[in-house]
Amino acid sequence: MSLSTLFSEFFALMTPGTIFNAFWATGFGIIVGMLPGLTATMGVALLTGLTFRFMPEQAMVVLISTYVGAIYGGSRSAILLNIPGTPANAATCLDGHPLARRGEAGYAIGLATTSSAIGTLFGLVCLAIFSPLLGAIALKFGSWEFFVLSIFGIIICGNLTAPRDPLKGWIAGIVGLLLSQVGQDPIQAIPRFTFGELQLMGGLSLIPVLVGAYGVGEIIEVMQRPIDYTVRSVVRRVIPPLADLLRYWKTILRSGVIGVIIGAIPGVGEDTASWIAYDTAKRFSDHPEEFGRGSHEGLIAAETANNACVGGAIIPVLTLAVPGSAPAAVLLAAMWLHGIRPGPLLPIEQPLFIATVTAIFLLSTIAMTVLGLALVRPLVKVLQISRTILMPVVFALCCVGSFAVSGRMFDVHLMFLFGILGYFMRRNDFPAAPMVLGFILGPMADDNFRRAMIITGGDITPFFTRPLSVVLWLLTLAVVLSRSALVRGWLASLARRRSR
Amino acid sequence: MRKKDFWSGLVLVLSALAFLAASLRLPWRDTGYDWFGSPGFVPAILAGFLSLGGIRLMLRSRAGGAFYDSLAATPDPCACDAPEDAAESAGEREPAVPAWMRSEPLRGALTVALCGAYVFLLMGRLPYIPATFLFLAGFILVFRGAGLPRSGVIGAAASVSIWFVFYKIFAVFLP
Repeated sequence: MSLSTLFSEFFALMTPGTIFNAFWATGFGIIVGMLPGLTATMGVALLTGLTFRFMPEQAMVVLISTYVGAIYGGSRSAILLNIPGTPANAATCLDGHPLARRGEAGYAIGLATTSSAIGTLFGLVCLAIFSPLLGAIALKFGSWEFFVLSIFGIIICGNLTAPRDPLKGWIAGIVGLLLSQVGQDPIQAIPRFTFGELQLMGGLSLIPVLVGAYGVGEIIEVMQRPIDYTVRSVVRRVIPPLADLLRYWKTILRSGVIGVIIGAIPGVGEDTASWIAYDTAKRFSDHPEEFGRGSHEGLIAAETANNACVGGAIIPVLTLAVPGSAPAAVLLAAMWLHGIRPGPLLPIEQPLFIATVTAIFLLSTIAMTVLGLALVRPLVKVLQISRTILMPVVFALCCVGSFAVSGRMFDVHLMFLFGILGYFMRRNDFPAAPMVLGFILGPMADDNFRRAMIITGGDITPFFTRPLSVVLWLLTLAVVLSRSALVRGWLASLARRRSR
Repeated sequence: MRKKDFWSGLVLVLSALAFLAASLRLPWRDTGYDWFGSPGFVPAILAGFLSLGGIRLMLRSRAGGAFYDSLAATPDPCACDAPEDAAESAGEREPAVPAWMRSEPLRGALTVALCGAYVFLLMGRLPYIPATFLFLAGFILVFRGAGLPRSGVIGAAASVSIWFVFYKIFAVFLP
């Protein structure tokens, strides 16, 4: 993608209506992100239903701006309350809140805002450069590779979202794959697991499943806690000096790269990116002892990575129709709803779409920076709304969002049931992200597996002999083996021998 | 967690067996393709893997004492609330809440019950604004978010605002 294409798309977006949509949606995203209990996924899923009647380009402006705003917004509550607004900002708590307790809340917010802006810009540059490249590789994918890719996505997502017990992550992924099989099968249109119920013929809708698993589950979890939160920090100077940021340019660059790579891995998402970037920054830092006690470097690493991850997560959405994170999964569903078909053929069918998405990112980054720096004190007021007032309103919005897509009460009931399922999954340490990823990749895995088997007359060897499949299997195997106690013990003993 | 894992594993195995049985009842012949083109093929494989996962979870919960010890010793990398920080930042915003409402399971059950009542009893049976008003005002009142008059005002304002913004401005269908 040339720079001129990007800028011509950007200037084409410069209409009052689009700018207005970008600003209100970013503001909405920041508020959703900063309120503990409301996640970026939930915000994007909610607006997917509500922008159903929008023109596709305007709907994308609203959804991408919400996504960018929400991932940034979570840093506010992480800094001021020591409660991450979204899971993506959990690493921000470690240094953001100690800074606030030292009386540097405004400075920490400013640092988080500029780091998030730089991270998003880094992500959009990578989106512009790598999407066409990955798209060219994706054109070589056949049914075999698409099937192996979906297995790879589930395994790596389960591994990274349940780092202490990956078995539960993998089980959640298989549950998602199985649930996606409900409804008519994609090859012969034979109903599966529908029990004669007409509402199930088209399968379980993605938006109610997402809103339920992420939104309703979180509402129950938040309301269950007997103690509410309150803001005690005082916010003063907000804009950090440029010299402070330049001093950490290596950390910014490294965290940006980590964010984009983690984002591009199917289903893994911003929370993992920020933890890995934080941990890496600590390892490379000249002052690792400051981490966890209000380190500027730690805060910059976490916030740069989680926002760079947004751009990274969109790359596989556009080129492979595989989401890089949970909010990106909703974005993918929204694109389908609006008649956009992401995947290897996107650059052929809609050659300017990748440039349009990149330009929307640029616009939402500007909106995020302006709103983030200008509305510090009013946004802090939002955190003072009691959850007993906020949560029922959010639940009412979840119902509207689930109903709006198909106009069926069945979807609202489905959302509620998935909310309860999501809640029990949390209580039992099963991550929701692999389940949602499995739910999205399930039709692709089923369709491509059977199609490949039909093409080869039941021969499974091409799954293991085609070059791209071999690469994906090797990566999957490496991920699984990395969790094996035997392999970890062997690697540790190897490292000990080398150090001697 | 050991006990929870055992029961989770059992539920998973039973669900997987139900899926497997339903997959085997789908057409495996006369589909125009061979058996590998059957709509039950992929779900049957997935159900097989799910049951294996469930069995592994059950076996681990029975025999994996060392695993659970190491799990308890490993800090959760996705948690950031240091206890002293949480105490510092979290203040009691609801002093009027009675003691019985400090029970976590009760609060969870109450939330599910109120949301369930809205979804299954109010929505679709009453017009949108009254149904949402009753839910919001009731929820705020039950959880002592505000007194009766204030709960009513918030419920009315929020339900009318949602209706106006989404139905009138965004032209979204409401239940």
